[in-house]
Amino acid sequence: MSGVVDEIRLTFGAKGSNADPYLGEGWHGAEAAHRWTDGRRSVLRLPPMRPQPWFALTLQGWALDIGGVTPPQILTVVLNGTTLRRLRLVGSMPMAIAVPGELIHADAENIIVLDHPEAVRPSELLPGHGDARMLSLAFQRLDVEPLDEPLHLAPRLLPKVAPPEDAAEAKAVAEAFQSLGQSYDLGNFQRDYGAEPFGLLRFAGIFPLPLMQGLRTRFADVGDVHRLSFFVHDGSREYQGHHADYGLDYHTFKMVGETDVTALAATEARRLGYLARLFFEQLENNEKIFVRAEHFETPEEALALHRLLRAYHPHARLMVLQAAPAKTPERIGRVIALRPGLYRGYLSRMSDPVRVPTRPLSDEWMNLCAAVVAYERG
Amino acid sequence: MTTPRARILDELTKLLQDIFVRDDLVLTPATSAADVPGWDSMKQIEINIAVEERYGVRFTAREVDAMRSVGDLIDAIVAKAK
Repeated sequence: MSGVVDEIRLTFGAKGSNADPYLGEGWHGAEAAHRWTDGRRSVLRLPPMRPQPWFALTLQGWALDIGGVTPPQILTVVLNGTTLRRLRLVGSMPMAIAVPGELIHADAENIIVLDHPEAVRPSELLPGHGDARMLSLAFQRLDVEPLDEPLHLAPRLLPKVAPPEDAAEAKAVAEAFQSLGQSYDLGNFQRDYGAEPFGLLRFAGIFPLPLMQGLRTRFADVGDVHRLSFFVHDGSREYQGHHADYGLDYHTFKMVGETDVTALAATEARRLGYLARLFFEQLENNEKIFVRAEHFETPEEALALHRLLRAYHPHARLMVLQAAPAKTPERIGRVIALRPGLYRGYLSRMSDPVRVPTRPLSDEWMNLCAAVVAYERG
Repeated sequence: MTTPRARILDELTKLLQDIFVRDDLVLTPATSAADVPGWDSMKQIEINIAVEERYGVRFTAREVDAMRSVGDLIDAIVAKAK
């Protein structure tokens, strides 16, 4: 049996993999950046952990999805015989769970059983598909680490504040935030208040896993011209940029006829590299409150992102936004402080994340942003 | 004799003439983005990159935010070049 550890950080892909000693039944071989589950059950045998009141268990990866014909994947997470969570997965995760310390063994192996009964063989779903493996979930990372306390135990509802009447003050509030991509609404809201801050991800779509990868690597090679491509949507004349490594889709604001693609690629490579440099400067100097519009199932999932930011500055701040549940409309325009520097705000709706820039709900955005800025000023 | 600030103003004028594709663009220390059609945040990024490459300097996001005019930019270049 392995020695007692304080935390566990497993990487499943072949590059940097350290998961092999902990794999039980139900795993395929490692691929470059992930490892597929095999069959309907996968097991991890983790070492004992030093006792703590709470732990955060975070899983990163994605569910099988082949051309829209795959059944939704169901995942049940069982730790040492106790079911922690059952959920329906579509697309990518992180998934994070607050685990009471009494469920973690300090003197014996910790067994995680992942039940995924909807596993299928791609070759049986799609005629001609060459993959006959039984697949359900691709895992990239698993982390188990001490958690101060579950974020749902001590949330604090921030007071409502009146939006600034002074235009310069309103602009300053809008400029205090920096986008982590996916929704253009922050950028449009800032524009509505006359703020045009530079932002690598301000008008960019990026999914959670590549975002987290970018944060881990300082967006390595984001300014590599060979990783960039450009396309034009039907009905548009604007070049859209795409970065292959991060699946980053973004507005160039350059029109067809205004430049050729070779020149555009050179310009964009320099621009992205420059903006990445500023992005990490702002992060390292804690100059901005970072914003991600993303529906996280649990507050601990937002915590995984917050921790990545805090690797750059111990007081880095993050606001995650989501649509208020229909049964709680009173949450619209309100912010909850989940822990120091981590906020969750509620909008009446989320915009289309990638393709369609929509006009933001600027009044709601201002309510949220003004509340956070006022709270931070004390 | 041309002062360093006057020389930099001349150089910036040529640089921005190229970026805006406008031979008639005239800059003074008081010129701001609002005075030049098309000088938006995208153009500002192009200008920042070109200035950094031309003078071998680097500006932080905070320094860039604080620049309100061409004169501020010249001051920043002079300060960094010391």
